[in-house]
Amino acid sequence: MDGLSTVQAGEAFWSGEVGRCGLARAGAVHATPIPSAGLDDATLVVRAREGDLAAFEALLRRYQKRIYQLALRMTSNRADAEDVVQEVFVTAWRRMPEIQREAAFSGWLYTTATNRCLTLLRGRRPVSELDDANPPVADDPMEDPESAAQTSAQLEALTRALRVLTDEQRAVWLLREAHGRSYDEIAHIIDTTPDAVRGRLFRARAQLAEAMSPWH
Amino acid sequence: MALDRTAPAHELPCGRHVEDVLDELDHGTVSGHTRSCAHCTTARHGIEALNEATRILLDDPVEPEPGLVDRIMSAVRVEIRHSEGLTLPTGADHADISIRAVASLLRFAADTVPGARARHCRVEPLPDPETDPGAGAGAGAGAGAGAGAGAGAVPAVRIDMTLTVRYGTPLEPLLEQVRAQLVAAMAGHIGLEARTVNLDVVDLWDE
Repeated sequence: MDGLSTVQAGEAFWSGEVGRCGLARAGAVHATPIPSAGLDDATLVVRAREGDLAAFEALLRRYQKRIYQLALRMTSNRADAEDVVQEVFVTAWRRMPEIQREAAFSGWLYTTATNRCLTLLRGRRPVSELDDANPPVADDPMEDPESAAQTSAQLEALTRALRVLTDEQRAVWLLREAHGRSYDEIAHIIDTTPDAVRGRLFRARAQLAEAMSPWH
Repeated sequence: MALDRTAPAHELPCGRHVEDVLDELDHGTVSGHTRSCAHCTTARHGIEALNEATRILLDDPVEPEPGLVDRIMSAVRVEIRHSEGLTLPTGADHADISIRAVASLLRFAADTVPGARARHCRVEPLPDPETDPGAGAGAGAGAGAGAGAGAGAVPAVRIDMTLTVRYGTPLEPLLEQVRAQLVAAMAGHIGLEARTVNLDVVDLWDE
């Protein structure tokens, strides 16, 4: 089994080319198969669970940007956000065999990412709860000229406003308003009830609106 | 909207709260006071600015750095789970191919059939066919490549595969084509005989 000639899936063997040429010879090929990127989540999750790296990479490419955006808006720090994305997906790969409900994969990513961000922020600010005067340490992504160029003034104002929220409120607001997750799902993520999520969301919106009003 | 307002409300100089204005806007019932009051108007501008920024955030322009996917895939490859191997019919020299690699090839073969997408795939070696080595022919006469390895006992395997199928595709011909592709891929590419092919349609998809 450990012979040198053993080929691991996803390495040399599954690069697409071998399969494509070989199959064209082997049988009547009706069409080029759809690339992994075009497959539904459930199919990709089953394949990734069985060790198919191409399927896992397709899932990674599908979700990494949204998870990164959530983590960046949560932490206000690019390096931290990228670390969160990496941890979430490496954990996803390890836990793949345990993810039984294929359709729940994106929910699993959001849950893991949110919790990872909250843990990270707790470590960063062990005492303060709501600390307007002392915003999170960060190389603010908006200070990066490249990013600032493509980011509107409104988005900058929102980024500043998000700092007035507690970490958990910010998570609730981002998950609902920027990522469209359901109340039930958010309640599950932060371990509360859907009604409590509605209440927190409403208060978060009022706080943000105040922070973004012309008084500020 | 019965909301818990235990948290400090955001009071405006006119005595109302930002929450009141937000509530009115959410329900599309803006009162006369809100329309005429300067403080409520300021609050409304804040809410509108928030709504506008929220719309932008839905299509957030920030991107992770381009190398992130590769970095994560490298980390994942280090942890790749070892897969069991199938012994290849190479004569005196011993050679294995990982079952996972074979499964990837078979999914690829199944995906070439329009309307089919392979999900689960399990490949198991079957015991040596001491008796009647030609018994596997029933599985897939269509491909014509099944006997490629020539005389004698070609090692045989059993394939269990689940599929999701495009809604409206006639199942019988689709399953026959998938079966033929699997048998052909196994024989032509790996040199093993797919003696038993179990296909199970577990889901439908729509474009």
